[in-house]
Amino acid sequence: MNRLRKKAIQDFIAVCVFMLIAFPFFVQFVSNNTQGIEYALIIIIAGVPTGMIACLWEFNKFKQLDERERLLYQQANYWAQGVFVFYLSGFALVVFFLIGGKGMVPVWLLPMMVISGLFVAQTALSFFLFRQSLKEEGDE
Amino acid sequence: MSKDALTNQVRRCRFEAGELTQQGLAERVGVTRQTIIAIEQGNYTPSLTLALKIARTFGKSVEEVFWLEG
Repeated sequence: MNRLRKKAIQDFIAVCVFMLIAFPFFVQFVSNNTQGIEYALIIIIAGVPTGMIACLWEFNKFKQLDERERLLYQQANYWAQGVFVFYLSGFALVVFFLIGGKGMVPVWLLPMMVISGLFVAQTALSFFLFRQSLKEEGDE
Repeated sequence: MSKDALTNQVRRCRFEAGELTQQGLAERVGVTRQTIIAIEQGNYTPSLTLALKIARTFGKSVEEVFWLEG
């Protein structure tokens, strides 16, 4: 298995694990109608170190790639950013027109939009890398 | 504006260097075998650093291995 395919699969598994952890917490917070800055602080205190470790791990993995793989990864990121923006725009517009311009939009839709957007963007990134790795196999 | 294409004779150089494998060349210049394949097929334009490393591996100047066509 080449490194690009390995990276595509690893990244997709990582975002699936993230969704499996984040989504039940999110549903629980919504059902409890969680309020208060202390909850936000708990999330920040737990999330920032975890995020930093994840970034360092990811940066270390990125350094192991060669120049062509880095270029492909950057292209995949570019596409994923596009998908993210497109998804958020679509989501926001659909919600706007479904509920109406002067209607009350449930607040839980905002984090829901971001979390699901991250999943969609990461799926797009992994798909791009996976497709590229398949193409490379065909070229060999 | 002219459409110049970078051409190379990496495959020929490997052959002249005693059938050096793609994997062998990749290890010497610090990239993956897939990158060597992409360069040989003209699907990837290497950086100047990588082009110099490849040329140095074969004991040639970079212009002898890579050149613009068109």
